Amino acid sequence: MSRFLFVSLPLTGHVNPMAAVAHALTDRGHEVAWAGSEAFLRPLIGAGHPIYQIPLRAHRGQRERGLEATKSRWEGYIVPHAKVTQKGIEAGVSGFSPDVLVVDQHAVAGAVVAHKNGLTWASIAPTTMELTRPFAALPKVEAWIQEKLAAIWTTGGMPGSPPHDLRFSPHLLIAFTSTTLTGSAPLPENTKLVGPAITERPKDPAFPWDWIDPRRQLVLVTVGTLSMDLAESFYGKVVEALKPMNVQAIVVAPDGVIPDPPEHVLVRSRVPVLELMPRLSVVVSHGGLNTVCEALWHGVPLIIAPIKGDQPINAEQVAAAGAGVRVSFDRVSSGQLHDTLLKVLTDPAYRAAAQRVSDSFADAGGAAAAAVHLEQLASQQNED
Amino acid sequence: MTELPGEIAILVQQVTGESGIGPQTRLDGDLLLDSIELAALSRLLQERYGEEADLLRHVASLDIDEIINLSVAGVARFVEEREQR
Repeated sequence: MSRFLFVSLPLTGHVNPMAAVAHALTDRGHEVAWAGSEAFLRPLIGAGHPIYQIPLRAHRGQRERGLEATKSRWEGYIVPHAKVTQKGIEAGVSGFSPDVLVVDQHAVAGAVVAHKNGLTWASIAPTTMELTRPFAALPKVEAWIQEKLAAIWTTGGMPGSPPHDLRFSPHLLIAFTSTTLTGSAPLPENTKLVGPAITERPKDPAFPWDWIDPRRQLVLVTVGTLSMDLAESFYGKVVEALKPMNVQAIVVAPDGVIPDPPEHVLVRSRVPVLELMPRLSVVVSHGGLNTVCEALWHGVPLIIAPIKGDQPINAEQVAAAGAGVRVSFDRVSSGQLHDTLLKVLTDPAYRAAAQRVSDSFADAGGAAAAAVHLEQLASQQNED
Repeated sequence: MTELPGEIAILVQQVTGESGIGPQTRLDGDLLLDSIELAALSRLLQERYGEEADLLRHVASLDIDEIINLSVAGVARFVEEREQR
């Protein structure tokens, strides 16, 4: 039996896969605690695991996009988050005496505390943002990120400069994807790609299942909760593209954003995405990793209009795998969307490719496989 | 060379389909050009102004603020400097 301290960020999409791994460790007889905010974490992780309190520094929905978003992610979030959370993580280490720290790639204070205490630690990549080093082609941007990491190291009371890139544990890196998606992108040797760690979500008894016509193809349009303010013109184009089509479509959008939708388009502010997946023919998405992985898990191809963050990377990977098409969020026309929908709905190659990714996910083992890798890391550490 | 920013604005318009592009329009900061669009623009520049007008290589040499603030006028200056060498 080993003890694992999870160090997370207050972002639902980051915590969900980590929580699945934490529960898989508990199922295997290990002990898990978290460093995080009780108010934010508890509803996501359930009752079983103790939480060592770190201040909740909420991630405001980023308005910036492009490299401005990269700047504000580091200067406005990752660096200050490391500063305010380090003390709480240290309290977790002294209170819980973990064998292994399990650290979100963006919770850099976790890496600093691991070094400070000579602890074995694993990095977790809940998004593809850092995994494939998207800025490798922009050396000065990459160097700028290294400066930020060095500043976190120094502020954390560590001498000299970090011995390695603190986003990547030298011991183990777990990511929730598979090589069918990451393709030929170079990854560190100690990387384990376990596929998505999908968690059960509460059912939605209010959803009008009767509305769905089983004889027609069903399209889901979902561009994420962070980006609703950006999405209005996009929804307009999607509805225009769908108008002449003999399909049904469910669009996830806040009330009032889509006035008078046609009868074959259902607009709802929340939908039971996982329950719908087996019925879907295509998902139109902004390319958040959770939506992408949930669709591909069910062998459903995607049309991705990436907005920011790791979404362009996910869109590229899906297109390269043949499991979907990337379009421009800002610049796609309703005509292009219409043609793209027809293409993905009629060409069986997309669905076949999505099924290949699905098979690779199943082989990767998910949260249970991640738990086994962490367990092995802990037992190696105990032998040393 | 005063017409160069205008020529480049037209190329950027071709790549993005956006209107209202002027010398001060920023590729990343305003237009959020993605990597595919940037590569397409770089190709168009090379076709027109020669192999030396390799915008991708130029962007790779810039720091984060320089990339954010790279404008149509800035691309014109880059192309002009290449041509004069």
